[in-house]
Amino acid sequence: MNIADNARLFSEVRRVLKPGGIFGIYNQMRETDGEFDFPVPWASVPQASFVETPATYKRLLTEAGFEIIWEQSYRDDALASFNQQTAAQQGSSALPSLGVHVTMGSGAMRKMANHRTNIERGLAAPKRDRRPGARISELKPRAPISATLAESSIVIYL
Amino acid sequence: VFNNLVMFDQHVPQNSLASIVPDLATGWSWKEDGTELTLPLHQGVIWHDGKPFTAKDVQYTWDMLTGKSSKKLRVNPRKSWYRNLADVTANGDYEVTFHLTRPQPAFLALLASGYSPVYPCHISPRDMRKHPIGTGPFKFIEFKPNEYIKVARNPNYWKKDQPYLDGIEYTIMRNLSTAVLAFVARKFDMTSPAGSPRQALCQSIRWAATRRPKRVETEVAGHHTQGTLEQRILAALREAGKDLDRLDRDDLAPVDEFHHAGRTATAAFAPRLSLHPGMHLFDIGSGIGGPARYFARHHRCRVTGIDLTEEFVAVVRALTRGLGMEGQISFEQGSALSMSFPPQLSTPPPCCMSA
Repeated sequence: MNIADNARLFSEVRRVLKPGGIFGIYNQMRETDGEFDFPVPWASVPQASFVETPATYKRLLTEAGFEIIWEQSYRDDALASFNQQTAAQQGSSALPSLGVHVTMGSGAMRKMANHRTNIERGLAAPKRDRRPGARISELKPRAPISATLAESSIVIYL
Repeated sequence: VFNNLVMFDQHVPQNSLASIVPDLATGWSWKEDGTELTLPLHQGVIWHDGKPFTAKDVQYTWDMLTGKSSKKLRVNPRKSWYRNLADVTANGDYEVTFHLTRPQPAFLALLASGYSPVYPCHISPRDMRKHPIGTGPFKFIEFKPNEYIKVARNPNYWKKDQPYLDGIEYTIMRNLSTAVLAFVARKFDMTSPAGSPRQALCQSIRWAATRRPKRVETEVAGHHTQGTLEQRILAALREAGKDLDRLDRDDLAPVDEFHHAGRTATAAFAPRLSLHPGMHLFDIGSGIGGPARYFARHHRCRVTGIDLTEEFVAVVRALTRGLGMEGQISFEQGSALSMSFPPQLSTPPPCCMSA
């Protein structure tokens, strides 16, 4: 998910969601400032890439009336899955016939390689949350809607 | 699906008594005093289920319309048309006579109307509501309320070499503006908007002018568009040795989960959403539907997906049809920043976003 105006997205979700419903996000989030290598799987150019920090997500969600009930970084899992793919391909230069590269279209290899580099550099991937899986209870509910904030691949909060 | 006894000649722009031509009847004649209309019928016509069409079917149809039959229509607004009709008699298998209480020259125009098809007497109105059987050029295939009606060419149609089309798919769009816009975008070959088409067209043109997707959204959607995605997926499945006619949802797992760690991540994410069977889940950025199929299958949720990229929506709809999952999951093209969905979907829906 690559959305320019997250504040508007969250208010739309809140409008559509029934009170008490859960909103889960699993998305790439930025860990530190710095330039990504492009193209990446979600964008060809920096102008069309909208990656925010988990803190921004949480602020915008709270402002939109969500209570954050759980979050977790999935950086390590993302890297592990990359390593697994590399291991599976060992000894063969060809891609398996079935894989996300089919869906990703042209330049898939380059997009994924850049993606991996960006994660390894820590740009798109914050460290695993201090309390993985913990409920963030300090945040006061503003509305009867709760949010499960799931960060991405690079950084997945749940 | 159906035929009339007589019909207005479709090549004449304005209907009139003079433009009426025979259809299931081969002609007609009035008794001198104008109270009896006799119509000889085509022989050798068969219903879509193979039973022969006879005068009994005609008699049955008008007995039902006038309320004489033991079989009833649920709603019968046409009853008032036939106040002047005393009786319909079958003279053998291939001739019928309409007996009127007094002369009514325009009676033939009622029979020529689009609301005057002949129904089969061997099928109950209840079954007809679910699966209509006619003598017409197209056979009924499927009706999905609020979604579509499908009909296919009747290979045994009694008018030689007709129809010319293999089938027709009617897409049901409740919103007139959406329908007109889709027509303007050439998604459909024909449209017949109820209400005022002109007004709707003006409204939609205004809508198109004000709601044109933002440049950035065009860019985001364009990034994901290949134009050949469906073919690529099918080719990859074939290459991997999958049987395309017996595709399993899991066959698609390696290609259909776009986010990191794919299926593993979806499975790890699911328990955080407090899912339960029958829950309505809403997937923003649904791609080609991997997570939607996962949640439908493993958690028995109903899933509505939305994605900005038109090609993803076209492909996911084809996959959904192919897997026979139309009842559980559906997909819309649109922007998550201005969703067309009404507030508060029927059951408490969690929302799920994926990368």
